[in-house]
Formats: sequence, C-alpha cells, structure tokens
Amino acid sequence: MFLKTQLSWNVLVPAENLDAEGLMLQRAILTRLLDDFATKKAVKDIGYFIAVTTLDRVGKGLISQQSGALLFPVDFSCITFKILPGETLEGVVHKVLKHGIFLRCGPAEKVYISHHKMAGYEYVPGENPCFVNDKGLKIENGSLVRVTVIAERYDEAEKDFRALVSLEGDFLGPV
Amino acid sequence: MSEKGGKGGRSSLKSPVGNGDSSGKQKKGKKVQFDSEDIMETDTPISNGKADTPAAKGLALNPFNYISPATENDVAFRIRVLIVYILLIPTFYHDMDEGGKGDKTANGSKKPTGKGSTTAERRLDQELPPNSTCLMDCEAAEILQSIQDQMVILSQDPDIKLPISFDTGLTYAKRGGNYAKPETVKKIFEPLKKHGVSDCEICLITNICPESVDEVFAVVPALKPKMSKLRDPLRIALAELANLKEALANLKNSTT
Repeated sequence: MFLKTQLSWNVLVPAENLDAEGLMLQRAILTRLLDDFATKKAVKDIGYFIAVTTLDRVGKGLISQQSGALLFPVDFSCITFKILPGETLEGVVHKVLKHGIFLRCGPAEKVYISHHKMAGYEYVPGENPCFVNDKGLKIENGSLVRVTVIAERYDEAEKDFRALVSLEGDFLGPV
Repeated sequence: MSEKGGKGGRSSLKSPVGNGDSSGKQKKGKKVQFDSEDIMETDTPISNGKADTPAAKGLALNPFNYISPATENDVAFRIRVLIVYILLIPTFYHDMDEGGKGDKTANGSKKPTGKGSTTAERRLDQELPPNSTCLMDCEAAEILQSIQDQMVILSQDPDIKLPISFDTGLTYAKRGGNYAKPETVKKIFEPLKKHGVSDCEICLITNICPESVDEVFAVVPALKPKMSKLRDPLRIALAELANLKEALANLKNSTT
C-alpha cells in the first residue's frame, strides 16, 4: 500500500554550495535532500522510498566545525510503498519454481507464494513452467495474481523487503 | 465478595477454594460481618487467579455476593435479586461482546469468530508508522505521474535524482488503468465512513476495484462484523464506481 509520510531529516550542505544569494542555497538543500532520498532505497518502518512530494520546512543551519558544511533540519512529505500483513495485493509473476512462485508487487520483487498456500494448483514443468488448477486457471510468468499478505520481513543488508503471501481465500488467484 | 459465594451451597457458581473457609466462618456470619469482608479480600486473588476483568465480571454474576447475612433469610428479597440478575444477564453478555471486539490487545482467544477480522484490522493499523496516512493507488498514481511529467524538464539538471523504486511504484499504481480522479472516488466512498469504515479500509477497497459486495468482505475481512450495516451502502458505492469507470472508458474510446 502506498503511504504518505512526513519525515524530518538533517541535510548536509557542503561549504562550496553556500552562496550569499538564498536561491542557490535552497536549491542546494533540495538537491541534497533528493540525493539522500534516492540513495536510501528503503527503511523498515515506512517501506520503499518512492518520491518526495513537498518540502514543508527548512530549519536553521548548524555549522560543522570540522568540514565547514551546514547541517539543516528539513521537514518534508514523501510517498512510500509498504507491504502490510493482512493486505491484499496484486503482483506479477516473474519466477515459477517447483515449490512456489515469486511475484513482483511494485518495488518488492521477493514476494513468495509457497505451493502449500496454493490449494488446488499443481506444478506443470516444462520450458515455461506454470501452476494449473482443476478449473483450468493457469499461473505462469507474467500472470497478474491477487494475493493476501501473511507476513513480511525487512532485510537490512539488502535494504529490501521479503513477503510471504497466500492464494487461500475467496476472490484470490489469477486476475 | 467472593466469600458470600462461598456460602453457597447457594453458590455452585463459586470456586471451591473459598468454600472451606467460608463454611467455617458462616457460623460467625451474623456475629462479624467484617470477617466475611476479610475473607473476601483473601479469597479474591485465590479464586480468580488474576484480578482480571472476566474474573471480576464472573464474580459480579453471582447475585448472592450482594446479600448480607441480615437479609439472607428474606425469601422475597432473594427472589427480587434473582429477577434483577436474570434481567442483567443479556446486558452483561452484550458488554462482554463489545469488550471482546473492542479489546485490541486481546489475543483473540475469547472471540474466535471475530479473531481473524480484529487481528487483520489491528495489524494494518499497527503497521502504519507514525505521521503516515494511507493513499489510494489512484491517488499515488496521480501524484507520481505529475512528478514524471515534470522530470522531462528536471532531467536536464543532473543533480536531481529519483529513487530507483519510482518507476516500479508508478507502474504498480497505474496497473488497474483506473483513470478516475481520487477526489471523485473518495466522494463515492465517503458515506461508508459514517458506518465506521476507516480510511485504510477504504483504500484497500478502492485498490482492489471490487465488482461485488461479497468481494469486498472477502478482501477486507475486518468489515465482516459490520456486514449487515454495510451491505447496502457498499452496493450503492460499487454501482457508482462501476458507472464512473464505464463513463471514463467510453470517454477514452471516443477520444482515441
């Protein structure tokens, strides 16, 4: 689910970007903020960073005595994407394995359905492996599937989320 | 009060722990009413384990807890107490139901029927970080698309960067091909708020684009307890949404 979040960060502006004219300083603060935002791929609490929407407030700068850079406290709003347990998502299949399927839901690529959570579906091996159920519904690479989220976990090392999802429930499955 | 229940040959409801003590002190009941109160203080933790709400309510159930020795033999009084007790039982269970559903910290073991829905809703609300609000996919798509449109000009400046998740996020937000304005969609589902549907649940519903009321309750199980109240408003909202989609599709076909 997409979230709109308000954050407060400290933005470090190098001394060479400081200018007597205020406009260049504001630009420097904004570009540094966008750079920091783009570098941080995701955070455990609020999910994947998608985009900064508004710059709400820029506080007074503090001078770093060692480097001469300025540290500005900045309040801004942004859009993030977080997978919430219990949520219903739609994902695109990008890997079909014997014991399950990997989906891509927005920025999250490690959304996994175990075959245990695909009641009625049987694995069909081959050049283009897929899962098929007795009603003829097919789940293969590129299929859009509606799932419900059982659990999610944040991988700090990779700055990525992994989610375990299920097809068990009404109105879930290939769309 | 538990010891009075212990006097219970009347209190078959009471725990057996206090019975021995209270039967001994029963003979002294008239002499010293305070003794019974002492027993009450000691008995309460023993019989209930923890001073917990259900236990307290369990104690409160026994009307004979409130009978003083002086009126014990007054049959008419006892009959009146029983009548009041019988009248209070439905309200007590109503309160227990509300407490079970409203008790967000419960493990859910008390109310198995409501467990799944309370847990699911609780999880969604729990997982929402502070200073965050839910966005509908169409809302996010509109904002991200406007940023994408501005990037045509902003990309000339190499200092301006977008996160790597931007493109995948925008693709996901636009996946339904739903070109309805978020304000219009919000207005359609606004009446549901009067029936206790939260913003998060409305976002869940609009993101899935359900075609039937049953689909809504399947996708958002937290709404099942309010099914009877929500069925009609949901049906109306989904019909309006379907009309809007059809009108937009016709408009798109006519322009292409």
